[in-house]
Amino acid sequence: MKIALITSCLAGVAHSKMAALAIKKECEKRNYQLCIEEQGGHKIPVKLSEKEIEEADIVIIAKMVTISGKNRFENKIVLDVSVNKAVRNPSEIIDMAEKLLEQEK
Amino acid sequence: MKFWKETKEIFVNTGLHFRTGVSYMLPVILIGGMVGSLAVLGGTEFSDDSIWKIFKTIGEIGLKYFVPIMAAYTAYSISDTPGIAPGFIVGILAQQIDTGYLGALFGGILVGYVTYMLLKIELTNILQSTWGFIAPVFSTIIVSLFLFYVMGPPIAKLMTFLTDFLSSLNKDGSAAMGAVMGFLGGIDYGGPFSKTQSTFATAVMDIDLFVPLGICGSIVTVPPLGLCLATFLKPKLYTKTERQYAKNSWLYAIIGGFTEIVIPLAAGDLIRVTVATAIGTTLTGVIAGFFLLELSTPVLGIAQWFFYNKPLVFVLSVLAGVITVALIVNLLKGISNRDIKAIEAAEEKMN
Repeated sequence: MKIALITSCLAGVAHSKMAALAIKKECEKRNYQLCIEEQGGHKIPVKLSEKEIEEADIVIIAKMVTISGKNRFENKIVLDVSVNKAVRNPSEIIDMAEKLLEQEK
Repeated sequence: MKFWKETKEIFVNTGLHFRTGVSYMLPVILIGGMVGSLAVLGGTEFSDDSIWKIFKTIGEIGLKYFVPIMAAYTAYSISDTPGIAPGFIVGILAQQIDTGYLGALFGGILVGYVTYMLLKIELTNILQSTWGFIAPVFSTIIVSLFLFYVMGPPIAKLMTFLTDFLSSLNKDGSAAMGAVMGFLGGIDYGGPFSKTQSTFATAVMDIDLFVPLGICGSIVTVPPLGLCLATFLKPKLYTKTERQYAKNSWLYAIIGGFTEIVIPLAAGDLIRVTVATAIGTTLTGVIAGFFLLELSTPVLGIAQWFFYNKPLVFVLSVLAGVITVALIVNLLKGISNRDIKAIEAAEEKMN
């Protein structure tokens, strides 16, 4: 499974990074591919390329603040979760993603 | 009905929209605060064409216009790009009718909502494309009138009351405020409660109050530093991973300065750690409040040190908090029977 992950937090220094790390770890454990975009007040985000979005099976948005560029994911399967949950419980989120993909198929 | 469902969804997520506004407003206030503080280097009196005057002006602009920026991006969070312009204008209006940041927040939410709903109206094809430009005009008018005639006056009264109350706080009052803010900052490590107090602290800069920010700034690093110190004092009470993490993170906590660093040290034993950090940060808040510690710029970590009015009080309050946290957490862990060996064995297995 290929996952595109967008994380966002208030200042873009702590939560977005921690959530990205937690999910990355979980994905490595389950052998999923992952590409990450972190958003927040104080930095220029490294944006996901169009190809990465195109190829992703599912888009996970872990947010504390509204993300910018929502319209990029209009035709994708999107899982919306809070960034706190991603930090504390990444395995549950990947479970949810798996379930959602199953349903959509 | 779809209309009510969408309305409900917007207002249920009010917190998310506020936070988005705050997220975009922070850089503005940061630029204003830092450049404004640089002007202090030039002394108190300087001529109109000196560089310090320019610095001072930049600082004033930043500290004035963070309110409309906050309103603009609160609206943006609801209705995307079309919300920015109406939000900005409503935010400035809110400031001009003395409703300050409170009015700007409500105005931002309302104008975002109205813009969103107006844009949902379906018209014939030809009109639809122009409607995108016209809808924000209508939403601005509607919300501005509403704010000016209906919601503005009571909010303005509330703001005046709040301003008078907060600026009349003496040492005891500030210490009490410090206790509350410290408690909120120490219980959830960067979660909703901490964010509530830090948002409050930055928002009252609008009415020239800097004590809350001083309190907020001094409690930030207390939980991680306290836990790191506790690990150094009694390594036996901690697992190998925790000790390793503490060794790596204490310097990072001082330089970077955010509470979230503590989470890996707290997660394994949440209740006991939370009790300890809450007591420690409350103490820090009380000390900072009692000595009226002021911070003029909302920055984190090492950068803070240059913007306190009383650096000694800052050091004192942080030290007191850190030591309290360390002692209490070790005391609590000492009387519990947390089986370190079992946890370490489980960790070995995981890897």
